[in-house]
Amino acid sequence: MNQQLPSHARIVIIGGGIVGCSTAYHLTQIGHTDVALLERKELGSGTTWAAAGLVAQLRQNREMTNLAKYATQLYPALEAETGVATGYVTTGALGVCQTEDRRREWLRGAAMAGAFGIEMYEISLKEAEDMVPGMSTKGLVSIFYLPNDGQTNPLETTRSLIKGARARGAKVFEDTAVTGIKVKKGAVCGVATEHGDLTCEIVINCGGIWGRDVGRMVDVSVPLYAAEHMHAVTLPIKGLKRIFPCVRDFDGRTYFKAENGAILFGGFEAVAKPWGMKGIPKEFKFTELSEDWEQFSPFMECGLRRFPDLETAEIRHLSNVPESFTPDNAFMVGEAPGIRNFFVGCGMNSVGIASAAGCGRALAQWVDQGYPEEPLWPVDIRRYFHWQMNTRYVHDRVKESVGILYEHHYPNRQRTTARPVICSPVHDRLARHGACFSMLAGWERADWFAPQGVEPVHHYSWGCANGFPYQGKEHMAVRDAVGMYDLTSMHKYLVQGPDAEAALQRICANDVAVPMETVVYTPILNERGGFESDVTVTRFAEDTFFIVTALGTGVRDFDYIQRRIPEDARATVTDVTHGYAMLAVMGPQSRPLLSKLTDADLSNAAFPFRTARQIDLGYARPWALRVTYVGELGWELYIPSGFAVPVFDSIMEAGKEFGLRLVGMQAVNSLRMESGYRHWETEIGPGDTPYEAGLAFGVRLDKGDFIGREALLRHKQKGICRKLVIFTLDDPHPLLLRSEPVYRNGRHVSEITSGAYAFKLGSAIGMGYLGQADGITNDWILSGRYEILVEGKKYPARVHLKSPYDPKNERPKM
Amino acid sequence: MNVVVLLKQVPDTESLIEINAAADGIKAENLKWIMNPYDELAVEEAIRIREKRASGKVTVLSFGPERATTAIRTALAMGADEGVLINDPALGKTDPMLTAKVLAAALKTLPFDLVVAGQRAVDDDSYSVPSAVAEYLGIPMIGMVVRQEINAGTIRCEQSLQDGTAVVEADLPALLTTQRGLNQPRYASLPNIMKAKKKPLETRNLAAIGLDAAQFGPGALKTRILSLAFPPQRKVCKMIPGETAEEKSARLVQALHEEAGVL
Repeated sequence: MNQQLPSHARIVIIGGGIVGCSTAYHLTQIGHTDVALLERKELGSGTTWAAAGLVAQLRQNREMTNLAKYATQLYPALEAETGVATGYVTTGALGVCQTEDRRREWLRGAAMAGAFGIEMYEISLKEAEDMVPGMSTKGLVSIFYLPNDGQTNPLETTRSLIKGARARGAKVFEDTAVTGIKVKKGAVCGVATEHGDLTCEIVINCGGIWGRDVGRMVDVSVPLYAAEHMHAVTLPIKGLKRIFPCVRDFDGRTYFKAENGAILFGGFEAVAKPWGMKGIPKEFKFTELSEDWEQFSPFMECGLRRFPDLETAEIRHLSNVPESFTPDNAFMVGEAPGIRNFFVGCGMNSVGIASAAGCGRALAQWVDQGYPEEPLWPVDIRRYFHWQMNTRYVHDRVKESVGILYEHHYPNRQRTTARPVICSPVHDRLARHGACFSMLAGWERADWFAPQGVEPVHHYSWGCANGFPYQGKEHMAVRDAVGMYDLTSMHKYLVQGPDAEAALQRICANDVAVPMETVVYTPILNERGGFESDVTVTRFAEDTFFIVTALGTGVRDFDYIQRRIPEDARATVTDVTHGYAMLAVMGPQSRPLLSKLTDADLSNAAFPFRTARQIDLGYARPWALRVTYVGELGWELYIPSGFAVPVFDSIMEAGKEFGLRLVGMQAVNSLRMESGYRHWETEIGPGDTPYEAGLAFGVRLDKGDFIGREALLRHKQKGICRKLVIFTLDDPHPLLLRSEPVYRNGRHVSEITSGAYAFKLGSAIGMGYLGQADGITNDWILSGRYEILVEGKKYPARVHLKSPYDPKNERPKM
Repeated sequence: MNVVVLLKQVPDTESLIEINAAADGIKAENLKWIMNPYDELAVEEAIRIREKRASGKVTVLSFGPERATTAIRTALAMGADEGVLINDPALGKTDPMLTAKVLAAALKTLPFDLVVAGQRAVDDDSYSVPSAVAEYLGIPMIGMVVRQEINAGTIRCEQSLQDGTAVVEADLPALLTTQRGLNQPRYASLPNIMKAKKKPLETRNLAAIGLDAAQFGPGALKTRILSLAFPPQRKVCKMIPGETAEEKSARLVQALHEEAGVL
């Protein structure tokens, strides 16, 4: 397969595992044929070869599900094209539930599957026994069946993919380890290998367990770490079918797969063993690690319960091969932030075979047109922060990551390892007031506050978790009195320079050429008119703009803005997140409260909604922004970090007489939902326009050109076919979380984008898009009869065009 | 009838071996470690002897670092009853004679009627430890055994020779070494793997087997490895480039003449 390394290839793929080969396959399929794939040893010899080859379609979200779904179409069809059989078989899969809680999770999962176009339904224990002779259903509560899941031969599938790629011109170089990547003017321009250098325009890091090291070559954070991953294979067992549905016992953390008349079984243990602390040996190739039966014992115990034949079966082999895992158990694809033309497809978390097809397709599209065809935020490389390449952090976290796949996926489930990473200046104050913390992107944030006598720990539930009543009190405090929350974790940038206004005018859909001390809410759109982000921009000075955006999208938003400031513009963007603490004081009593601490005039006339002032507060001079994410009168205080603790203390002290309550992230979320405020990632994303999302007020088509304007003009002329609406349930008890199917006049039409409990309204509230191919009207929306499926039961729902709580958004302007 | 199996943990033959910087050993990190394959035959044979007689016990004895317990557990999962690991920080590098001395000392503390050992370990291929152990203990040794039969106080073995077989008999206690064909080692079953975790496995130091640590260390070695090297690699095949057959053959002739010097 080897030939002379060329001096140039337009696209270089690093890594010849199934992801690299799939990427080469898809790139060449859409016409990018000048591709060189560099593999340090042999194709598939890192981790691919040792995979069990399961292709499960239903994943933790729609995005990952779609990628896996594509594998069930591509792998069976590859042989016809390439002549290399992949060994793909549709086996179906069973998910067995040992507990009622697990059944609740799977009921929600089945509803999600239905919404994603995947067949999945509950079957009787007897039916399952007939499908899988030899399996015991003793002690099981329920079983779900996914008839279209499959399994494939990982190495053959890899060979088939690369054969297709090579037939279209891709060149493959084995035994060619990459030793460096060259960068010029912020873009990759070449690759150095053991056998010489080549120039290139694009580099795609499909380096598997070496992916973190490849990322480090260009200072790109690719947070993954190898962990030992095991499965055992028996000798053939009499009475077993040669092919039976894959059995997944999440409660036992174990899966079972047919393997030529024998059973292959393995799983995802709660506490995994990171591997490669001293680096990966240079000669690593088809390498197995030593057996560790102690580590494997949870799977043996589950095995003996689920397949009694394992009592006497002989174990032919225990395979232990390292696999790469990431901090959140999701892989990463896309163009890396901070550098141009460096793409990543790594960190497969043991679902690489199932995901490689979709991952390769997405990477090919991304390279081709600058973005993928489908929303991919949950697996986007830009969700990771630069600090997450910290080796000790990833090492400590992957101990837990491995088990995430099969754990109980309760809402708001928190990670427990590698914490704390980032604490706000008032962290200890919050802790002293009973904060039960949750963690997002490394930040410790108060989730809810436990009153005295209540332990601030999470007890998860599919119903109301233990923090629910306290969340309710915090929610009501903001509605009726005043609450304070710490959102120091919000990402903050300064865009500065004589050309800052011009640069931002092009990036933002709203008009930011505003007077000093004005706060502007603005969508940031892509060329298709879809949301890349939405932020608030505050003009601090003629040449200084202060941008605030969400924590989770901090890297993505910064990168998006930075890339779009023209090279010759006299404007810079600087991340000042850690320079300012942010305390939000919200609620009808916020004005009298803050007036106790400042001489500034906080009246509507002097300090109107959507303006900002630098004010005296205590002994500090924070920027106060009169905006809200919770739908009440209030101020967000941006306090230079060192001043934060005394300011916090003075607000707490002054707040006593106003019934001030500390508020956690759970309440902030339920408040914003109740007020009908959209959240990027759930309600809005690259495929949603401001008109569809009901955020047209943030768009100024008449201000001059901006990114996305052309598309919006066309869109507006054509009329919209889908619209974001709000649902409330008539029944006060069921909870809406995410992805619950929505029915209109009995027909499944949509899913909930996100949900919460609206404490003031007294029921669950959720948002979702409704669509109609030939144009959508409010009459059509309001004339439907709606129901929402929650844990297998349909509940009547009421539809709203605007939030029933303060539909005119008057309360923030009080 | 008590049988002791001598067991060594070795790198998996599939592992890619790297030589250490001093070139006097291999890099022990990141290797997959397994039970020496000839010792698997020994464990299997010992278990069969115990099963046939339904009495006595099988003890697995190993001399090595802490990680060797994994190999002992595997033997226990196959069906051995007890494990003993000799491990002492005083022992640095060893050689076959030193190893034999330690194993023989350990055997003196264990009741046995028969010792079964692999004919050699596939890592260093010294072939010498079992015979040295027998010598230290003053017991008969039969090597390369493909069949054995125990009668009152004696053992009769079939020994594989290069061009045939020999039948050899010795009084017990004796030591025999295994050859392929002796048996087909069993795979462990799940319940036995789990039970093996609870079987006795004891680690003993030199003092516990009556040896004086002062007599060990680098000075006690009778042989020293001066250097290790891989066999010379075969040269990589060279592809002759060219558009046409004529061009390729012309370049081939040129290469054979100028580079290989055979024409």
